[in-house]
Amino acid sequence: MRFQTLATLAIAMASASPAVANPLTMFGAGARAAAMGGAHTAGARDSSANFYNPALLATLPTLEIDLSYRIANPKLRLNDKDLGVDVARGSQISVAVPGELAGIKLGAGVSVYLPDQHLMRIRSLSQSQPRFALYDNRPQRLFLSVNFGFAINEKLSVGGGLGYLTATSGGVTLTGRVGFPNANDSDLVLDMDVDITTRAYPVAGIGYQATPWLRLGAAYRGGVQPVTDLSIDIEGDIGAAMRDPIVADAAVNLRSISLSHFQPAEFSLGAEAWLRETLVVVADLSLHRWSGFTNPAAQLESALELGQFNEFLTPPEPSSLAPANYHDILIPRVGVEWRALHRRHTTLHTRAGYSYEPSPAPEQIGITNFVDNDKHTASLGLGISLRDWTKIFLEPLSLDLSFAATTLARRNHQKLSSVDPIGDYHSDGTVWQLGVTSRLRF
Amino acid sequence: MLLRKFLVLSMMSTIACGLGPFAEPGGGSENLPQSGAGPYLFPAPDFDTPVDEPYLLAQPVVSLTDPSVRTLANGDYEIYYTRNTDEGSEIWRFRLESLTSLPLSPPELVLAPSEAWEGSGLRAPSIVAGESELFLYYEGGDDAPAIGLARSSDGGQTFAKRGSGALIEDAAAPDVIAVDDYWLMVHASPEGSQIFLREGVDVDSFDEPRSIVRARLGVESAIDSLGIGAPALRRQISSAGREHYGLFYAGLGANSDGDAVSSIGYYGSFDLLAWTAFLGGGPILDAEPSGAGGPAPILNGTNSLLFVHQARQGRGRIAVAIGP
Repeated sequence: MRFQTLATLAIAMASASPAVANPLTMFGAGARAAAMGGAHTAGARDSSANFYNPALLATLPTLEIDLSYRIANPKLRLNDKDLGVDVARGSQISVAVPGELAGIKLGAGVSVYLPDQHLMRIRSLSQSQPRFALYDNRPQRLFLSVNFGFAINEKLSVGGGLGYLTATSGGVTLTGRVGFPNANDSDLVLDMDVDITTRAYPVAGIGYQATPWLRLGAAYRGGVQPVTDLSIDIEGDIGAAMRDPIVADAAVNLRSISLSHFQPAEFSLGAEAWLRETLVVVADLSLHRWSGFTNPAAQLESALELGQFNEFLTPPEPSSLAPANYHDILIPRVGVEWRALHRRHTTLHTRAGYSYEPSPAPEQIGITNFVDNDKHTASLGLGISLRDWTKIFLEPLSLDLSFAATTLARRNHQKLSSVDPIGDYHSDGTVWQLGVTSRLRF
Repeated sequence: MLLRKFLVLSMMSTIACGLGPFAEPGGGSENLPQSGAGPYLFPAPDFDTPVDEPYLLAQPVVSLTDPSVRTLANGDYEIYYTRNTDEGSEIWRFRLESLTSLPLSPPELVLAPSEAWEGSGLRAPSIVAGESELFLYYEGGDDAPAIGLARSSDGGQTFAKRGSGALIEDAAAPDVIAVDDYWLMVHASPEGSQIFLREGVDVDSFDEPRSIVRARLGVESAIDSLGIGAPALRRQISSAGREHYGLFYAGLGANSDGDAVSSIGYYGSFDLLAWTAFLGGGPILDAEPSGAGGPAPILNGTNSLLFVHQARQGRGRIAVAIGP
């Protein structure tokens, strides 16, 4: 199925740039998870299970509709100067539906993240242009997942499903006559043909209620590397109208292929421990397989056929891309939730979390400048649940707020070459995040 | 199929909400670091400015060459240069508020030949700001180029030459930078075959020269196949404390018609000992067809400028090129 004009229009309106991973990995799914350091592999007790561990969907007691909005404002610097990386904003809608089938307790979940600046960004920067490879455009993309969870017995549940990311291929073809010497005299037919395709990846999880106060979880999210393949082709004669063409059957072809939308495979282990009736602690350890990350810069191919003018033009050689040399990382996450207030109509939870994400990127000493730093994220949050305030909603209404600050630890990049056009630099930064989630239960 | 429909609906929703059409260009490209190696480009003519880009100063009859630039505290550029006439050459200067404005006042004479060794011409100024003085190094002499020094203790209003003799004999086109408690000078050999480096403990006391770059004489495709000169040395300290030196120079080579043409090249070094040519020793400034010479870079880490002279209609003009 081709979306031709509509898709091209959408792409044209959106600014383009490479993206890696998905926005929920980066900022968390829902304000509760974000406030607890994202440690929800065993700790998800809402529709965020759809993202963190689909097995836990089977443990939810009620149908939930979560509406979230989050904003992340990065201040990322090279040599103490802000690069002006885009603010990331977006809405998330998550629905979790519990049920029972043939005596088996199950749950289904759907989650959609819709950035409100760009539906999708496709920008292929030169490999030498410095950019924060993980932060620059990582949040700027549509995300969708559909999952199911099954309770095998009272203690054990399993789940799985699919996540979806988007990829783009296609191009623009101009056919007809290119006016020369007056370009305005051109007579060209424009044919835009762009496919927005989906790349699905598997998601799976398992949950185990080891004791009444301890739950364990494990989850897997598949890696995916969609290809962005765009081309521009101009084919036809060159010359003035009503005259013999100066060049007949000329052709200019430019193709850009980039693997810029990489998402690493992720394995997570988690635990949720109820230390008291009012206090729960969660912890995760995740392995992100960044070693599969390839150079996201575009591989450019070009061809020219301009008849007798060929000798004056030399198509550029296909660019040579250096390996990115990223490596796998282990990310520890911890979080805590304390029920600070519990009244007849109102319950108030306070939350805090921390995560440490070591950089998968090596020091940028060569031609590439895919900058990344070790990241420390501290988070705080509040959750308020309202019960019996109205007879319309029999289940509690909830509102969660989260605030997180990520610090990118300063890092030096010393170039091997004394004639590197970028030269030595250091990178650091902060990212401020705010999130809100409202939850309706039925 | 269902998913694709969903995607289309999502796009339409976004467009309907008016979000898509107002999407801003992707960010993340501001204040990008650069070493200053280049490559550089001349700015395109801008008819909204009074300046004839890329030229900052041109005059009838006389030829202007060898700019040396001092950035003032208020951001103005004070540009010293060689003013060449049929009778000889002098060192003049003018001041700019910005690269898109005309000189604030008419150019003024700074230094003229007056000593016997200087002959009929002073050339290739290199202006250096000390703690309380300005130091102006220059090349003088007709048949035997040598380097002289003049000092100013009144902010550049007047310069007094050092003694009656040359500071360094048998040397051309000096460029000097101050480094903490010592000084570095690069200069060309009089015949234009190599570039030398000297270290000094004072403004007028330099060690013996050390050859750091040689012209690729006879290498047909080299930009310095006929000679090398006009060196300009710049020193930067990285955030990790590592020293980096950039050596800009003018190479004299032959174009496809066999005519001599001057191009700007660049060498880099971390230790002043090992020097590496940028772009394989090719030009760092596209200055076809007339070439460019007398490089005077200003490097600030993000927006590098390269002041040069370029011949047009048979006369040199002071021009500026912009870094990547």
